[in-house]
Amino acid sequence: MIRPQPLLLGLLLLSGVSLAAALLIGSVAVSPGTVWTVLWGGGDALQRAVLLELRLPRALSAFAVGGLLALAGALMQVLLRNPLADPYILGVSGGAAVFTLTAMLLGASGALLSGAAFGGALFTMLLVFALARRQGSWTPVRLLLTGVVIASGWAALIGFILAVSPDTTLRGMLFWLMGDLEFAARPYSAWAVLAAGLAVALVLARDLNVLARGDLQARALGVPVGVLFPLLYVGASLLTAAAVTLAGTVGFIGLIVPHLLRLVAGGDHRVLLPGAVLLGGSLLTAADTLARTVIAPQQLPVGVITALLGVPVFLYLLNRRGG
Amino acid sequence: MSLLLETRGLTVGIAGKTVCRDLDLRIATGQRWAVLGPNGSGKTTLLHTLTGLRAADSGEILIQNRPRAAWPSRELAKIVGTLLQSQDDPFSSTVIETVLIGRHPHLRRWQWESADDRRRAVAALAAVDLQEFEARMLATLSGGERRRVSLAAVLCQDPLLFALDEPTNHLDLHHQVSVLNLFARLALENSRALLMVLHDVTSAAHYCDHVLLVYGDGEVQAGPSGELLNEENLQRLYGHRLYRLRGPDGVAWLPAMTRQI
Repeated sequence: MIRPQPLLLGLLLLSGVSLAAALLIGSVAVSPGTVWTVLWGGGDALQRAVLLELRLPRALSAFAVGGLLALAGALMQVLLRNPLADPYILGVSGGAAVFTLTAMLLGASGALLSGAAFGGALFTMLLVFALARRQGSWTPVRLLLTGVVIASGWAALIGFILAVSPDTTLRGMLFWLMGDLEFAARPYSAWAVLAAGLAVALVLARDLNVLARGDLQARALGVPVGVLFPLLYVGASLLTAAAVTLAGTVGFIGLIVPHLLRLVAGGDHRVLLPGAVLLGGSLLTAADTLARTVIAPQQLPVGVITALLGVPVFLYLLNRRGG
Repeated sequence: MSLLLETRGLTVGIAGKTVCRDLDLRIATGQRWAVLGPNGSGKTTLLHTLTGLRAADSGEILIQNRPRAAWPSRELAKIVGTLLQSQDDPFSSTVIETVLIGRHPHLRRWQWESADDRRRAVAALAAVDLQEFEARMLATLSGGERRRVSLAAVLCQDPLLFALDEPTNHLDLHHQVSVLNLFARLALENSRALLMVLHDVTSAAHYCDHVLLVYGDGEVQAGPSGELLNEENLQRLYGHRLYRLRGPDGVAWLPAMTRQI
């Protein structure tokens, strides 16, 4: 078990390294000195364009999306009391996908696609919330079943849209579905959502430690579960919506990062939540750097890399600790 | 002796069934109450209602002479500590982390567990015979050991009223006795009170000075165990014959082993 301070310091360092690597590595070679000069307002036009208009926004987008998904996953796991929960389990990403793919089919691009993704995510969040609450109070199981069924419905619609779409738009759709940061140029709103989400999550972190032992146990210890449940649900859904809006459905990060941290650092959410943001951000930034360089000039969807790297690492850690 | 919990005209029901009707109950410090009754009679429902985990149908519940609903939930958790009948833990965590959860109501929002909180947790673990289990993962413990971790968490919570739902679940005989001794002594010597659901009438007779008999048809009898624990009441309670025996440590209640009413 790693102690909290060394763990968080290590993760901060990892975040810095992953962001620096994302700026340095790519088709145009850039030296660390040049990056430094450009960040402080120097450099020539080409260097400035490559770093400030391409690599920096993309690195910041990747970090924000990774952080959002890891945080959303950690919250969703406590909310549903299910270690297998990920940010997409309740259908938020499915709704975003159906809306976005429909918009793509209709020829939309750019900000319209982001709007469609966010709209679909929000719509699903409200739909699941309303359906799961219909008979008064809601339990994690009821919420989970409602969300999973809605997600299946969206999956069917996604299949339908893919089947009727012309070949020319299919590639873009598949990239979106696997998670892709190529068009993620404006990370600022995602960073704002991430900062706000982490701040709220840290306020509630010790309550979450208690809630992880069950809602009845949490109420017995004075945690206002009736307020905490909807707050967690809306919070995790909004974090997911922000991530999906920026990068499509990047898989794996939201499921694996909280687990990795639980394995190495224990279950204290005061450490787990900020750790998840840093580790999720670092991992996705590193994965995206690989995604755009490993078979350059061809780019891979970043979701492919996260899964290819994440699966062996996770299995190794799981076996090393004997479950 | 001071009054910890009082009910006035309490009526509790669940799923169309009445657990108790117009119950007047007074639990004071130093008292040990056993809740006895057959499966499905509503013992847990009644315990949860008394401790604030569910609402009553009608009637009043006062904690330290103040209506239960008027208590902020965290303040209430400093006075009433509840051990649930069962506990599942889908997430891995260490034994000490789990026990320290009991300190939650005592800590302010940004406060971390202090060295004193840790000392309390370690002492609570020692009290349930789990010395040097602090760093163990919960998932590697046996059912009885995990039950004792939950008991240590309630000890660590340090409430005035211990409300324990079948505290001896999964425990071997030695640990059943030592755990019941521990809580009974805490109630008697440290001006706490104990309210626990039990299935063993002998333990109830030995460790508790009061009993709540929950018959399951809406009738509940509350009073001193010496008066209420008799063959007639117990036969009606369980629909089963119990023999009163004299053991080396006092009265023992032995159920008839062959099927008879």
